[in-house]
Amino acid sequence: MNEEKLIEIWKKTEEVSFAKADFEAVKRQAEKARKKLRRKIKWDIGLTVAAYILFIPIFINTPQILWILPFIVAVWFWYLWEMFRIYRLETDFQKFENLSEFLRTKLKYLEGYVKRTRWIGNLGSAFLIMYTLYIFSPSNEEFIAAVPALLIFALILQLLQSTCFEIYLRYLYIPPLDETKNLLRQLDDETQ
Amino acid sequence: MQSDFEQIIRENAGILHKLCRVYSNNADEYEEMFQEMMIQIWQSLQNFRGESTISTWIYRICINTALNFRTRTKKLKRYTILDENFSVRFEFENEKDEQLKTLYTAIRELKPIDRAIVSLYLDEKSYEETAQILGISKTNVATRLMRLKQKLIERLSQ
Repeated sequence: MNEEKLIEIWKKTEEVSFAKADFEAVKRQAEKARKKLRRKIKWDIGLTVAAYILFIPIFINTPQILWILPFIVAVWFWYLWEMFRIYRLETDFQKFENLSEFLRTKLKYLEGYVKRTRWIGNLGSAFLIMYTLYIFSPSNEEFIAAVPALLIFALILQLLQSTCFEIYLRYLYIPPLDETKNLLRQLDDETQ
Repeated sequence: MQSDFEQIIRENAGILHKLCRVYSNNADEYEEMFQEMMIQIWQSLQNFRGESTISTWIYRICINTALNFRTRTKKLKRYTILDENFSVRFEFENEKDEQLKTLYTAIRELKPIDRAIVSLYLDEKSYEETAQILGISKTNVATRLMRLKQKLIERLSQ
């Protein structure tokens, strides 16, 4: 066995035949996939709007926290922007000059998203603790010196919230992030 | 453009087929990957500037597609659809060729990036073209190929 023989064996690879060859279908499918993604983004927007409508009673009951509203809207826009660029990258990657460039961009986007989501999650946790203490404290004095049971309750809520964020990231974004890192490591393996 | 596309696919179906065989784990994945590669080629056909050969360009798109399959987010997986009006099959005339089967098995045992390097080498792409498609140095390609060729020769000599 030698190198020439390897190439010779490879050349014996079967001929491809198209069982059903409706090439128009490819074009249609490309359009369909694009529309489906657009629908997905619209669905995300709808869901976020619905979630914000659910916030209305909270703002009515505690108008003191209305200042948080611009931040929530900013987070919403941030989320849509992140989603859009990740979807775009995953469906429209032919513009990249080579594999390395594509993988590096993907790593940058995914790492950025995961990092920023955790950061927002931490901010949300702090807010959740404050909010829980605030609405369950009958007076300002009790808010400042909260009873231990209330503190524990607030911490449990915060823990629950950060666990949900982490599960979401680990289920959807950490596996592709790890795989992208792994591929890049393989690619750079012997560059030195 | 439609006829160009058809012609390009028919003439280069071998590249798509080989890469799908090298990267897919089963028939369903093979077909899904094949379709995705065609969609990507269709979408980028208008951007082909002829700076490289058509086969190098197709290799670049198809390797990116095959590896994107491994790194796709779960959300996107749910939005990938197969069209029933298109299916592809390959002739099994060489399926009995033990050496060919062993070669594909040996390639599939390699790491994903090494599979791409080996496929390009076996299709007689130059070090320069391989380096260009993958975005690594020619020295890197040469070093790795030396080790990979040896590995394959040993495996097929068993």
